[in-house]
Amino acid sequence: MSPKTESYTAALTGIVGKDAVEEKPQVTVADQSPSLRVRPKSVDEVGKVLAFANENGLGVIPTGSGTKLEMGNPPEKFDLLLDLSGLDQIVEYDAENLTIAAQAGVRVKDLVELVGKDELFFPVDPSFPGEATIGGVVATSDNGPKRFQHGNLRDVVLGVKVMLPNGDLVKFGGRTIKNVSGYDVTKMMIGSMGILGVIVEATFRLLPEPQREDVLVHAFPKLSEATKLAGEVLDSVLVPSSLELLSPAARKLLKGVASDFAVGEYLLVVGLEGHPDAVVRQEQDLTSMCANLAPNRTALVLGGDYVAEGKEASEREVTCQIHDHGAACNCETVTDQATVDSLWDEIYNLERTAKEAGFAVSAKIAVPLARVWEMAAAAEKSAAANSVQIAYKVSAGNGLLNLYLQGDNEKVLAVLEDLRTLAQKREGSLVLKSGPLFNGSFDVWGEPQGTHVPLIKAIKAKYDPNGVLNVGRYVGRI
Amino acid sequence: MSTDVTKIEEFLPLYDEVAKCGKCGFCQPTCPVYRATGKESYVARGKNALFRNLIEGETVMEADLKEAFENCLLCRACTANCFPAVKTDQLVVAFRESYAQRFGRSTIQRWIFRNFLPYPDRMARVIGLAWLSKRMGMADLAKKIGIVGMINPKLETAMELRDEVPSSFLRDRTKNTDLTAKGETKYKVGYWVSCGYNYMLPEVGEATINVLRHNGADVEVLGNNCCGLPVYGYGDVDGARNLAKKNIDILGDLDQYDYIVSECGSCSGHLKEYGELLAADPEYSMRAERLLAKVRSFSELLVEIDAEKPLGEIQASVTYHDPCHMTTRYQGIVTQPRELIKNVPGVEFREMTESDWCCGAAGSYNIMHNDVSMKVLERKMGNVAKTEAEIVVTECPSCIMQLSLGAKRQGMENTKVMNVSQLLDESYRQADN
Amino acid sequence: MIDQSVIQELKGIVGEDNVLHNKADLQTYEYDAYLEKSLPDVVVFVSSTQEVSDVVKAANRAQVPFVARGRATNLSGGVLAMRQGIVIELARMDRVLDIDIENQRMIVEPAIYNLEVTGAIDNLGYYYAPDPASGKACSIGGNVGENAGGPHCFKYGVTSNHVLGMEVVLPDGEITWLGGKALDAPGLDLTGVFVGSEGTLGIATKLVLRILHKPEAVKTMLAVYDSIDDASNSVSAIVSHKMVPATLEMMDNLVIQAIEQSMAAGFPLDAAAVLLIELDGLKDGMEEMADKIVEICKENNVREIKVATCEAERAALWKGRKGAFGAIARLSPNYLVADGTVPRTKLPETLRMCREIGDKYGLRVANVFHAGDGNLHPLILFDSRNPEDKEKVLKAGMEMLQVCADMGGTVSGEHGVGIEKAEAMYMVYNEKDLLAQEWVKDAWDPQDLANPGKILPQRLIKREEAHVS
Ligand SMILES: Cc1cc2nc3c(=O)[nH]c(=O)nc-3n(C[C@H](O)[C@H](O)[C@H](O)COP(=O)(O)OP(=O)(O)OC[C@H]3O[C@@H](n4cnc5c(N)ncnc54)[C@H](O)[C@@H]3O)c2cc1C
Ligand SMILES: Cc1cc2nc3c(=O)[nH]c(=O)nc-3n(C[C@H](O)[C@H](O)[C@H](O)COP(=O)(O)OP(=O)(O)OC[C@H]3O[C@@H](n4cnc5c(N)ncnc54)[C@H](O)[C@@H]3O)c2cc1C
Ligand code: SF4
Ligand code: SF4
Repeated sequence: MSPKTESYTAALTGIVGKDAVEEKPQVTVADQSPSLRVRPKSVDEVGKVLAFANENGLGVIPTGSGTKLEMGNPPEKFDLLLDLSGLDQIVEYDAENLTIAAQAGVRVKDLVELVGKDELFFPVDPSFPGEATIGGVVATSDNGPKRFQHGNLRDVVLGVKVMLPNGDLVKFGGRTIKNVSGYDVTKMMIGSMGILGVIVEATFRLLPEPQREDVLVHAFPKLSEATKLAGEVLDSVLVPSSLELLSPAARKLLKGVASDFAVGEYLLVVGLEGHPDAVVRQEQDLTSMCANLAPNRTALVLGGDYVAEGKEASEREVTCQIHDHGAACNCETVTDQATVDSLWDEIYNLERTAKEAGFAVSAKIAVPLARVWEMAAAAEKSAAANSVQIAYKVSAGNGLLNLYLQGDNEKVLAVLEDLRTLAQKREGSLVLKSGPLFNGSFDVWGEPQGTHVPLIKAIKAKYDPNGVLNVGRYVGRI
Repeated sequence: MSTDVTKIEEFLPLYDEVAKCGKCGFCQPTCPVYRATGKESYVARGKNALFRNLIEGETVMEADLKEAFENCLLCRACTANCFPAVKTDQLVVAFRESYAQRFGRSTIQRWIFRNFLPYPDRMARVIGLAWLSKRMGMADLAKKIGIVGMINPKLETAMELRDEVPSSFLRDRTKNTDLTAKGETKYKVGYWVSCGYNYMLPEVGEATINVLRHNGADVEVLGNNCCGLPVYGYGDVDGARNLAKKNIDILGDLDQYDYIVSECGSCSGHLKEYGELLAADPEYSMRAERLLAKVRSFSELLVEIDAEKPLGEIQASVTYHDPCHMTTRYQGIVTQPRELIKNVPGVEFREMTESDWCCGAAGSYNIMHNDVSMKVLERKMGNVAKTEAEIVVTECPSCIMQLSLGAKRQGMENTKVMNVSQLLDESYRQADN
Repeated sequence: MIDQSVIQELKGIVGEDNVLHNKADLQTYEYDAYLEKSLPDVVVFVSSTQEVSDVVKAANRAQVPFVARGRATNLSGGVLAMRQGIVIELARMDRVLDIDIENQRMIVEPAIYNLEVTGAIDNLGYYYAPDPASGKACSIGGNVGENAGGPHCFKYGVTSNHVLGMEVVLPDGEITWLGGKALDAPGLDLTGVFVGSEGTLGIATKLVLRILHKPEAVKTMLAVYDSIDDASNSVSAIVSHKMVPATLEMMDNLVIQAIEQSMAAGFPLDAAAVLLIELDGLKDGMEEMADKIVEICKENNVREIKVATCEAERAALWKGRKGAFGAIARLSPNYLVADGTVPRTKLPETLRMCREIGDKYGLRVANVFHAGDGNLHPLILFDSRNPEDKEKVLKAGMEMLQVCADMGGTVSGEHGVGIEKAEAMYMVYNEKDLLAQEWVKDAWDPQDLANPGKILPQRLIKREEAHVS
């Protein structure tokens, strides 16, 4: 340990206390390890730590729970891992006005449980909700299937407090839904991957819990059929909360109800929320749409344990009579909430399951809605051509395609490059979310149209002039 | 040549009016001139701002301001969309009047206003000459003299438009014809001769008279002058007052008529405003009120007297253009013409978007500001084209001529433009044959 | 005064006819819907992105500031040329460029009227959700400038939730794209920062909008109350009963009077407040929700509740709401809108305090507001011909904003900061917060040429300095 590091340890210990500083932690980011992990317990401490790093030109990477720490390009410098899990307070929970302010280290799961007690609903569903922290979710702008209905983080975060590298605590936004007082820096902090400052607190909009939540799963042997149904749903008055498609290989990774379907089928998972009558109506519409498109397809209706007021419990089964509409669908109904929840859980954790199954690389493609199907088909094709195994999930309502790949590094790289070109041609992008960094030859982010690197650089230079936070990891290796 | 220009005293009575403008901008989207140009000084908000600046001494009356106030169709679309209903058209006329008083009107214009419009005989002679020169292939000459356009710009457009020239004026044509009711006489109707029909489109007047007679009217062709609207539009409010008074005198005893009717929306509309125009004169304003009680636009009258249903079939798709002076912004005769059109057997009526949007003719506007006027017209013709109607019906000679010009310019050769009365007349005639 | 050579250069770019610089013309570009004026040096009509860029580059060379002008209906002085310079008039860039139903996007030029966007896709069964009451008269570019909201934003979000990308001319004249038709462009959300930046970060020349399928069913209700508190409590009760109506709009007695005088929308003249509630979505379950709302309103002492039974009745109710600001003109020639936001449950108290402030200054205060969002619009009535009135009004407005800030709200909900509220920024932000906002401006526009003197109080150009005419 160099004398310099020793003096840092001493100084930081002075700020956060001995038990909050760990030397040579077992953490690597692109094969680099920091000399120290610091775990401040208060916002004030975060400020002091940062100011110290800033004065001494240390490379800092903030982390929530580290679920996605390796993401981004390799850091230019990495001295300090700033562990924010100690900032675990709910700052202000206003159930009446449907807002909650929480510190960065609060886990999404805990927050969901807290507001659930008041029958409220946290409109963000990131991957790994069990571990993901508020700060990490905001910094990565990570959101899941329900984003289709409830919007992304930029639509639900009302304000943030940020610790700047110089140790100044600043706030942006507030806690009202409408707010145009000044520049909307909050938006810029969302998805900033911690390059501008450390998000220490965020305020979110909450929603009333839906009265009923069902899931409809349709299985198709062909991608084109699923594509058609999704297109028809999107161009209809129906308002599903999510519209996800799992490729056969992705489906195979799921263990719960989804595994009941035949091997080789694509699953279209449709989330439905809202007034019970509206949910049931949509189930019927969807199933008849499906029957018209492709008769004899299998469908599964997952209903919550909700029983409409004044209606017989057995009426739930009605949703299944859809097939009596004439065209035949094989359909089954499951009616316990636990099954619904576990299906979602499996989807949220898909990236991890995939990784465990050997899909070491994951990437996200974003394109205009209707183009996502072409990208899915292109991905299958490119993977096959390169003998790469592929599993994927499409978020049809948002034009997103999450890819999981396994195979030879070089081959995988070829697929990624291929798909990035195709995505950018369609005014979209491809971002590498996890996996080997291919010796830096593949820029994790890419620079598609719509991403203005010089501006981002100029902004970074204002907020972090000494280059302390997540240096070199962002777009344009900023 | 200017007088005191720091404060425009005569505008003070309009201070309250102009102060109502909250600069909300709601007048923009419906102002045809603004939509064609995007210029703020052409929209009511801009005019009001300048007008207020004049009153408050923030600016002075000068030539640069004139353009803003010249560029107005007096269509009142702004007022109709303004919550405080600022009467921008009044400000515009007040400006034009005041400007002319300070800087003078072009001498030729004044000479025409004073020496021609009030004298139908002289008018007839000049316009007759102009037509003649066109018939002799000297259209350009007539145009160069410019006098026709000055008298009434519609006339000049008409001259350009009409390939075949009317052989005689409406007044002459009606001189020795039977004007009595067909069948039982139910009403005595004074037919107001509008300049546009008289000099340009006499066949419309004939159709109108025919329809009136068909419906039991003994028709008398009135010996009126120009109603005065063009003069008012130029801001010669005194000139307009004189014409109004003169007309009231000419009409004389109103009791002899059940109705006074005009199938020119501008004439009927302006006649109905004589009361306000002459408000300062107790005697004439009373007589004007009495006149107003008798005045009807053509469609208004026909619906009021429950006109005989036309039986002749006209297999055509028809749309209707509301002349500014027929809209709710002026007379509010909106449902009646539509009712009449729909009543004609065989007609398929197609409403057009922005049917009450000015066509851009607006008095002198299409002459003085031809480019803008043509842009306004383009928008109109675009809406006409969207209906794919074969016939555009309206109730104003200016509009008929402007829309015909539009149809010609857009290559819509098969689109016919006509007056409501012509459509009815044709149906009646077919049934008669 | 701008150099004549700059004017010549501008004429070279856009053509002689498209450059205005006589005083009469300029005086029609010295105002917007706010109360102040500032005379620009020159107005330039542009008709393409390239022209915008060329003009901006010329401004850079001459170091002359420029302001992008939409339809100048903003209420905070956003388009006033505070340091004179060039007004870039976008009015002629008002076309629809792309209607892309399968991707649920539309690309438009900035000056298109808000309502005409929906007008262009209405027959396809789609619409653009943000619906400022000024929708007929304001442009999408201006909506982006101010991050405009509207009644339906309670459920659907404001402009920034619906503008997904844009072509912009940056303050140095560079043409670039931020975001686009696809979501999640990598990198900082610069689109998000641009929306609401009031033309201080550049000029948007094309906008990518999210368009939505029209809901299957709509139900509009008008609830009439004898007390404002009852109306406010109904709003909170509706929300706490798990319902998210598309709109929850409230109008107080003075506004009702004004509306009735100007357009007879059928609001009872003696009511203390009316609440306009609209549900939208699938028809299934809507009746039940409507019944529930009626029940909740009754529990909160509603006097009467009307349900629109047809499109015409619905339109009549909305006409009243949409015309509310304008109708105030019937009561008094001018008004100042203090656009603040508070947590919903603080509404009754805030309203009471605003009224007290009005009383203190002897000013009439009318109120129309987006109750669901807690966004209130106290309209302070006065006559701008009376300078004393104006001073009082500005003071009263500031005090009302302070109340909003104290209640945990903010000083601008949807009308922007402009010059009007720059000082009020100190009520919600401290020096450090504001410095961090200033960095944004510095990074984008180091020369400070794009609409200078707006938003940031530290950059405010004092009225005395600005008023050069
Ligand atoms: C580039 C990228 C894209 C991703 N996209 C998706 C996606 O589309 N869908 C999906 O399901 N999951 C995605 N993830 C995964 C997502 O990051 C995790 O699920 C989770 O949201 C991160 O939470 P965490 O607490 O584990 O954060 P960590 O893994 O600890 O941190 C993630 C990143 O955020 C920064 N960070 C963390 N906390 C703060 C803070 N308080 N202030 C400032 N910066 C902070 C870190 O420095 C790091 O760069 C993505 C991850 C990355 C890196
Ligand atoms: C009667 C009335 C009712 C209103 N109701 C509402 C309401 O319900 N909700 C609401 O939010 N607002 C409302 N407003 C305020 C106003 O209509 C909005 O602020 C509107 O968004 C302004 O649009 P505009 O086209 O008039 O923009 P302008 O006033 O011309 O410009 C506004 C700002 O945007 C900038 N800007 C304009 N175009 C561009 C561009 N292309 N690129 C970058 N910057 C640009 C300008 O520089 C300026 O700073 C109302 C106003 C009035 C008068
Ligand atoms: S609509 Fe009326 S109040 Fe509004 S700007 Fe136009 S004239 Fe003025
Ligand atoms: S009268 Fe017509 S042309 Fe004149 S300002 Fe009003 S709307 Fe425009």
